[in-house]
Amino acid sequence: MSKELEVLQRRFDRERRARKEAESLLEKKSRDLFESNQTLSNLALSLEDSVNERTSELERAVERALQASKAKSEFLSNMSHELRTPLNAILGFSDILLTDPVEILSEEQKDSVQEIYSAGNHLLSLINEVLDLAKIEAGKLEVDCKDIDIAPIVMESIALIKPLAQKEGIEFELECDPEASFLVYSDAKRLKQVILNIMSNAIKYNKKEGYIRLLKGEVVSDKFLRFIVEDSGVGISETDMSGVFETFQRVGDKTSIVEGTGIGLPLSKKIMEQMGGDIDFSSEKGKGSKFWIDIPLAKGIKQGDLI
Amino acid sequence: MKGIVFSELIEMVEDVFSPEIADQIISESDLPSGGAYTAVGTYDHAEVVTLVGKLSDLTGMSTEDLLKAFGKHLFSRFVVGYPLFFQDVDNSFSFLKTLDSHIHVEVKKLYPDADLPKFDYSLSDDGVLIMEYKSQRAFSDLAYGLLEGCVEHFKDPISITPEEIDGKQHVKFTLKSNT
Repeated sequence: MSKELEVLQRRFDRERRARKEAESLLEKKSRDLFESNQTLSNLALSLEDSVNERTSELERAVERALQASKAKSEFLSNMSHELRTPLNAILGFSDILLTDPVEILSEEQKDSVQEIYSAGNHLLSLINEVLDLAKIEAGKLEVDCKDIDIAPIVMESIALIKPLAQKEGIEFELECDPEASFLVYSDAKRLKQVILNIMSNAIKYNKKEGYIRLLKGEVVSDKFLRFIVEDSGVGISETDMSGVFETFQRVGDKTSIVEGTGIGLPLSKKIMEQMGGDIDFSSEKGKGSKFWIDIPLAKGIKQGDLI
Repeated sequence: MKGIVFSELIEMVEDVFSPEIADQIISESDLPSGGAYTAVGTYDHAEVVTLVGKLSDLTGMSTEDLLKAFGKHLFSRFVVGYPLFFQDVDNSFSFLKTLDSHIHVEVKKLYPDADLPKFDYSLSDDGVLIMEYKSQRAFSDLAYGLLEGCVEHFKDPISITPEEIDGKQHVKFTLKSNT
């Protein structure tokens, strides 16, 4: 074999070995790629599985939460009904005893029955609040909104609250004219309930020889009549502010002697919201609070600042 | 070291010298790989040193000159083989500055086991680029040739001055623009 041929032969051998090495490298790379793809697709599958699993877990959790909430509302509603029935008997019979023309009770006994009657009435209003809250949470609270004059509602509320203020030694001040007519779109009974709640809170959480003041109403955003109640009470600290409209959250001193369940304000807010209005407040700890109720205006009313 | 360096070296020897010379340096070098190189393989860099040393013995040219010439040749092969790295640059400085931040990153993606030399850069306002080559393989002459290939490719009037800091392992190249 000539030298040239030998060189060519060696060169050919080297090329062949190089080709084989390249092929085996290629095969290894292909296998690596295939394995990587397998791992990736397995990962994708297991990811999809865990997403599905988490989704159904969450769905079950939501379902359980909804059922629990429904059960709670139903329980509250049923309990309130169950409590009201015997309570009506207590109220009815104590009323009969108090108004019986035969006068079978001594003065002392009459005072005791009067206590039973007052305490029973208080209990009834609490139960009614719980029932209302249960209805709202179950979406069953019905409001009958129409164009109404706010004046008689304000007058009646003042008439009910004023004696309470006097009893507590709290000055009742009027900056508005409660007799001035103003048409709003609302459910009269519910609106009165809300106004009474705000006013009675202003008395309950007041200071000795303090005041409660009905400010001049104003029209805001051409949509609402703002009814404002100011008090010189204990006020609400900044940390407590966020809990004011939370159900069963009573802000401030938890050992306070002020009676209440923590339902009144959240209930009032929900009622107002259902009627298309709102309640909000500003307050300073130790200096007092200002609560306002935004009541939707009757149709066609856009200006004015009367009450 | 990646196989492309070896296969290009053999091809250059075959083209510039002769297939017989290429065969001779391989045959006389007793290489672990047997000289059967494939571009996608990985081989010991010492085989380049052995091959170039043998070529130097046969041709009488210094290993420095041979490695430089090989660097220049290798750069021209990179231009043909990897056009992607050249599409957004139009001068040597722009290209060289992308070396560590872009090109070596891409090379690492393709060849995770590639052991790449490190370059430190500083570009002064008066158009001087200083590149410091650092590698245990001590192939600064190859790097020099690659730099020359680069300047030639972009047709830039740039002079290159090497300065050895620590033998062939650490060399400072000063690239000065003559415009």
